[in-house]
Amino acid sequence: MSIRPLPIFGSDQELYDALKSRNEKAYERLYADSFASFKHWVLLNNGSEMDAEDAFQKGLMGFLLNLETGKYQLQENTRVSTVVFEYCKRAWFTELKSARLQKRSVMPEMINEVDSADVASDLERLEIVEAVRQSLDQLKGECKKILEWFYVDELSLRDIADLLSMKESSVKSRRYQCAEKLKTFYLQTANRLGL
Amino acid sequence: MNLSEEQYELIEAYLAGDLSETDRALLESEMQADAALQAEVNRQRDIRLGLRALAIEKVLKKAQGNYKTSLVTATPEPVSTPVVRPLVNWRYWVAAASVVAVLGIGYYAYQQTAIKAAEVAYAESFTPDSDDDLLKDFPTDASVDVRQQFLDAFTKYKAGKYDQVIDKVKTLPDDKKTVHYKNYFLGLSYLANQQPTDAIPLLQRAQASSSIQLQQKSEWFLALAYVKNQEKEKALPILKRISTDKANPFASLAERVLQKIK
Repeated sequence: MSIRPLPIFGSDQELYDALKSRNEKAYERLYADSFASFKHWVLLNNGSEMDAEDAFQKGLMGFLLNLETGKYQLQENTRVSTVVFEYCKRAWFTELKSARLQKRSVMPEMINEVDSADVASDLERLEIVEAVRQSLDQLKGECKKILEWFYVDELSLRDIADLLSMKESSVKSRRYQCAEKLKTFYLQTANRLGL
Repeated sequence: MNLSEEQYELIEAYLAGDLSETDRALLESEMQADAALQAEVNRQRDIRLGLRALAIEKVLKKAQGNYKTSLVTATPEPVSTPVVRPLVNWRYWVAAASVVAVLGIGYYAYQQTAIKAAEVAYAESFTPDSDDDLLKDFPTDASVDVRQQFLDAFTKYKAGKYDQVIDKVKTLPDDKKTVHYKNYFLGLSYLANQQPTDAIPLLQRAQASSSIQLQQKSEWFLALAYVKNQEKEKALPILKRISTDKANPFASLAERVLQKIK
């Protein structure tokens, strides 16, 4: 069986641009370049392979969200892989820290140093994501489809209209109604989670 | 705050950055004057952030799946080299072929299982040293010129252009200060380039380095080169030695490879 070749990005700027446009191959490149070394690092820092996968996923998510929302911008002479590694390390440190609080165990000093406003804001953001996920799951049928197709799969209103055999203007109205329902669920969930 | 469809569309366009300069300024001044509207826009922004995260997650999971699949399927296609021999006696060859076929089927089945295990163990464990680590291990007392040449090679290495790294590093002089490092880096590059046979002698020589880090890394990658090269009997003692040395940073990885190929 042959392996599909991954693109080699000529520069970090190229990789950054591809990641910003949510290019699946660029995401795969991050896995291929950084996951094995990160896993090795987690294994050396009180973690298991599963911990490494979780922390890598969380770190990448934080990085990619910051990248897409403009909170992170590539600086000159910065390696994307180095930045990703830092995000993932931070995700693992945060995990260790919360485990330490639960078990009241001792934390290596270097790990205490990473507590910062950034970590807190990233965590809060993950809670918002979780609340939105739960709220979306509470929606049923057509409403859920319309919002997922529009916001997650980024289909146009016209495409959705074709899929549902509806007029584009009707889809637009339905999107508004469904978004209002989603907001209601979100407010309840956020309230329950203490956001 | 309940939104009308018109208000919803306005906020939607604002958050998507689709409003004209004038409309954006107007909405922002309204938000400044109306705390409830400001709170509503913030809420809508949070919901869109969550939806965006779900979109990223979807692609991320797909990429993760592809990556995992690529590890399992990272078995190179077997290269069969036709061997041309003079056909002296066809009866002899038919008989020999039957014996080989009978013995071969059993051995092939056994060997394929072993090869698969070794390939999986190798694919899961081999991580080309990061460029940061490569730089960290580089001898600090090397000349500026040599250092610069290695830096150029690191850039190629990071880009996965292992052929070019090999061509470049091979031409560098066997300077006393950098010879072990050169052997290590060259060996690592051969290994990354799926050429374990070429990597093995270089990684063996690199272990003569006075740097413990370089010794440990060379030993670890040498073990992996043997695994990759299907030389299990040579890989096993090295992996055992590494796995029982708790101070060795590769101990847990070696243990896992051992479990997979035993």
